[in-house]
Amino acid sequence: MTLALFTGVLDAVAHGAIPLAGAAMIVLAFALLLARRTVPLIAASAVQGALLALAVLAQAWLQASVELLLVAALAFAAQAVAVPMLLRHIAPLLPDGPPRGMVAPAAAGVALVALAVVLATGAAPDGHVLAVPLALLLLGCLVLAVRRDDLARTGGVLVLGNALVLALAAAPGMAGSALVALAALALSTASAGMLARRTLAGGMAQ
Amino acid sequence: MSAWFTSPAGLAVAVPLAAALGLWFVRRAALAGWLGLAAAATTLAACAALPWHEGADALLRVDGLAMHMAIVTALGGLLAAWLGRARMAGADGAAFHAVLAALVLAVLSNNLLLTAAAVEAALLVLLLHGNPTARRGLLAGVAGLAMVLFGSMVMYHAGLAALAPGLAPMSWDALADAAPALPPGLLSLGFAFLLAGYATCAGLAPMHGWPMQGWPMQGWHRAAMHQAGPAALLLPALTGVSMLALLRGREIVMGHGDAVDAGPPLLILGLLSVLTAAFLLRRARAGRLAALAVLLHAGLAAFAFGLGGASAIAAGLALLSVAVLLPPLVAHGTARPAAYRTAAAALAVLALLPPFAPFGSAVTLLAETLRQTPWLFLPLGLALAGAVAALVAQTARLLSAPAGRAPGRLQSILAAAPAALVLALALAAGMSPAAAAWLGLLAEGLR
Repeated sequence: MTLALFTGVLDAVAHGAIPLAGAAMIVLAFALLLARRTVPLIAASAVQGALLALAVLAQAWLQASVELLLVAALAFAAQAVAVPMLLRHIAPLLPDGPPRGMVAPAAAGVALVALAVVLATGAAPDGHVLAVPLALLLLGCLVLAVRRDDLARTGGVLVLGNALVLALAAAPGMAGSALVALAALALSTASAGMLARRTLAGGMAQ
Repeated sequence: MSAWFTSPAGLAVAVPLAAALGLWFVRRAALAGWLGLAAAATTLAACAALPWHEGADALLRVDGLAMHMAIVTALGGLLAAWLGRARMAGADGAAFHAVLAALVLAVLSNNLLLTAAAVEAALLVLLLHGNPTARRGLLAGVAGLAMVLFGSMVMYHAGLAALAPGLAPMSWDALADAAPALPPGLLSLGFAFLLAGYATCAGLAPMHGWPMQGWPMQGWHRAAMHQAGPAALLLPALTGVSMLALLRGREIVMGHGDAVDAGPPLLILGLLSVLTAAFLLRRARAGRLAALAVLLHAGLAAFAFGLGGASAIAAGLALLSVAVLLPPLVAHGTARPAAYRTAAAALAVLALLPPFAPFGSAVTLLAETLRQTPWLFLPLGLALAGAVAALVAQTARLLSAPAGRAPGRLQSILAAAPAALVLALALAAGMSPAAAAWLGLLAEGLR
């Protein structure tokens, strides 16, 4: 009886956590789109990675999937710990982004989120599970297109990786999801690693 | 299919992978060159055995299209291994063979996510092994790869409507068979992302800028030989593999009557690529010729796939094969005066001159355009004429440049051998009805 109550409560928590984490991740993607100073930028990407791990954990509970547990651990290790720590390490060597307008990128971001919701819900009856990953993917591409500084662009690649892992966690019964997650996380890790290599090489040259 | 390590498909992936691991530890350049060549030749032999092992399982699929592109990719790999044999030791050789293994795996894979991961592996190795100051290349490539992965996942979601969860909803053939029963909205959404992603990986216009201006094709020859090593010579093969994935995605989305029509976006991308190539070719430096020739031919292939119909698709496949095989010769040849003539000969074939195979394919493509979409005949014809004129002018410029001398008679024969082989192949394919029949057979299998 107690166990049934416990699992019921956890089910409800997991069901609630997924959309909440998704919404928070979209807000943080806007922060990455607009933030100018390096420290909040890195903090936003780290928190987004942690929220991703939380959402995947909830999916792992709901789908009773051990493989998704592994995905959550991988996502947390890469997106919330390793890459932000690496960025934190090289941040002092990088300048703040140049000052620029905020209205146009924010408006474009809102339009893209709306587009994602319309596309995903219109595509199929159960298409809404893809709305948040699609919105994050489009926002990540927008960050890459709009921002000119390397740190924010690496943050944009992190958003792309988060979108991919979220989409894969939402797909029930996907075979080899841990390997797919590795493929998605390799994108952000490779970008951050390349930025670090370049920055550290440049720092030593000076 | 038999156990993976005894089947030719498994060997075609395992041999270059093992070579990549082995060459990492080889420090002697001469030994590494011959080892790399042997591995590439073995890969080609394994691919050549594929026609006798047709079939599909959950992960690998050997059908006509796959075996054709696998043989073309492996032949391109052997050619590149020959051209780059002086730099096969250590990390250079390891990167080359890792990219070759990933490309062959992407061709033979029957799994959307495995194809995407293999293309990702090839592209990341190319980018990370290249120039560390490249950033546009990395960003555009990463965005393209993210779209490819996302599109594959959307296709999986679509497949769940009719197929049991697991490997089936992400396999190319099961999705194509089940397409009429799948939700058309999700199929269209998935195809849109696959199209954007693979077109970026293939470097089609308007996403041609990243291979052209970032690493590795800015002064392709310089990148190819001094920074990236021989792995950069496999870039045309990456374009071929990405176009094959596009063709497979097109097959899925065309299976459902209510899903988006794959034709118009492919036509637009193709025409735009041909126009861009024609425009840029007029004033291109020698180092960019190979990249622009790939852009031209990949654009023509995309246009042909967009038109549809057996003869147009067969012409597109022929142009794509040429785009994989010949540009490495151009890239390698334009970098060294002793090989200017080889580069010029390859460029003449790429310029769609008769009697080589691409000429016939281009004529077929124009005829099909006139038959199916007459209003596109004029723009395509003008762009093509411009590109051909520019390529002929570039060929003439290359021929009139002061050519260096090869060190000796044997050396010069050795240097010309691979070019002669590929040109003979292009000539034979242009003259013999067997090649046309083979490509027609492949195209018949597609919707």
